[in-house]
Amino acid sequence: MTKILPIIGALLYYACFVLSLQKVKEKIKNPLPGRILFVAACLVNFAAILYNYISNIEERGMFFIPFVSVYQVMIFLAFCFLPIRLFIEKVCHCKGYEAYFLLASAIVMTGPCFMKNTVTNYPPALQSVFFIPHIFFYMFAYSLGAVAFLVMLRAMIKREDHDRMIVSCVRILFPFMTAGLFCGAVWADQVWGEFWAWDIKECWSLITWFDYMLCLHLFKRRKLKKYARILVITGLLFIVITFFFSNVLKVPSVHSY
Amino acid sequence: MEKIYKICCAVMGVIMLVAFVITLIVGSTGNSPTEGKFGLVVVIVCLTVMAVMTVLALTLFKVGGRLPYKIGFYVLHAAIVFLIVGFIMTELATVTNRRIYKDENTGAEMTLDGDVYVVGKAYSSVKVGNKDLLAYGENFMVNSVNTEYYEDGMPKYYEAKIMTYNSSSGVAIEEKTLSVNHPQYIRGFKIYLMSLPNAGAAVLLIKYNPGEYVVLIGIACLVAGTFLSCFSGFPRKKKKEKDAVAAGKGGDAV
Repeated sequence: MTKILPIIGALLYYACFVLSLQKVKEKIKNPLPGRILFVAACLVNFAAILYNYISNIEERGMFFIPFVSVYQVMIFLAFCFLPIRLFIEKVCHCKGYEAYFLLASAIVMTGPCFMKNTVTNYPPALQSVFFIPHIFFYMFAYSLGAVAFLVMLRAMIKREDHDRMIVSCVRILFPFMTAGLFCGAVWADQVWGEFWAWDIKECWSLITWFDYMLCLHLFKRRKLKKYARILVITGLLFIVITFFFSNVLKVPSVHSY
Repeated sequence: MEKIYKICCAVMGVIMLVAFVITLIVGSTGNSPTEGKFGLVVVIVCLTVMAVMTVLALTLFKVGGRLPYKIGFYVLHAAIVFLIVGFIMTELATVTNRRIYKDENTGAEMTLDGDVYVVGKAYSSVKVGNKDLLAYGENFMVNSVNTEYYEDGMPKYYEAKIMTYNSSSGVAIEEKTLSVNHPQYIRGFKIYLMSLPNAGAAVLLIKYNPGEYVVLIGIACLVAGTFLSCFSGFPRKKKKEKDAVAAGKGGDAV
């Protein structure tokens, strides 16, 4: 099950992505297959989250949202794109970008297909009220960073103006990233006795935060927008470094659990 | 005014580059930049410049938009100043028993997260820098320690019961239970349980940080201000756009 659900989920997301492309849409005029596939992908993704949750309880007796391993975090991250897409469509009035969300979900869901669900015991330091909000906020921020990056790539390749969508993504991303960063700082003070320990992962997350902060400021001036666009690209690069540095490459860090 | 805005953005970019360099140094050496005098000065200078720019933003630039956006703008920028002041206070004025130990034989440096306190032993003085946790006539003691393990032997939970008491009468003044993620305060000092080296001792980190509440207020205001300003600034849908969407012409197709 640990492999089957992510594989089915990723395939469904890729299929939805293909069906959501404008050219395919024009050929297949009926939107129903796309919608059915999308609902199926969401259900499979949700089932994978639920399965992780139940397996955590059964194997380790832990009643936690499934964030115990990178595998579980990535499955949750793939699901985060759904509420964000709804919010961006309803509140920011940016429609027609479903392909980016689906591609982002599909890419993220591909990761767990090649990973093991290594559930380790929770060390005492992770048993904190800040653990879930810290990861939850960051997952939302990272999801939006990925979408902003994909839209920016499209804008650069096709030389189109998608600034409204990109700014919307960054504007939603930034509060979540701020909350995640400073939630982590308060937690660090509780557990290690320091708000800021200059750990390698903390430093990269600070750079990412600076990147998006500067990006928001640059987008406010027409003449500076070209620099802001570069920062959207580098933002995702920093996110990837922050996310994978200690979790995958196992660089010595207080964040390596 | 436009020029000042551009300069502020350029300075922010430079600070980001400094953070980048610091990260590379931290990554290669594993040391905190604020441990050395030069690093500390660089960090404080960067933070001070940021605080000055934030004050400039608060005073010079006219803020348009809806009221929640304006409130959010002022709250978050004021919070940044608060946070920076709190951080500098924390860096300069915190007194702690965390220290760097240098091995005389190997020359290797390691950080000691506090001191070892033996269970059941009475301490008449608990020195943290030039301050003392205890008032005159008080003693400090770690009463007991308790550890729970997972099936594979990994620690699941550990706690230590500590107390201060009158040295002559033996009457308890304050009794606290410390565990990981749950530090406690005694006379303004924050006490952390860092580890239990054995069943008869506890490693306690004791800290006095006058900037703690300034930082906490700064963080709370910054998060609230960021959410308020970023989420309230979305333009309301105009009637023309609504009609276009209803007619199936809206949106940027992929």
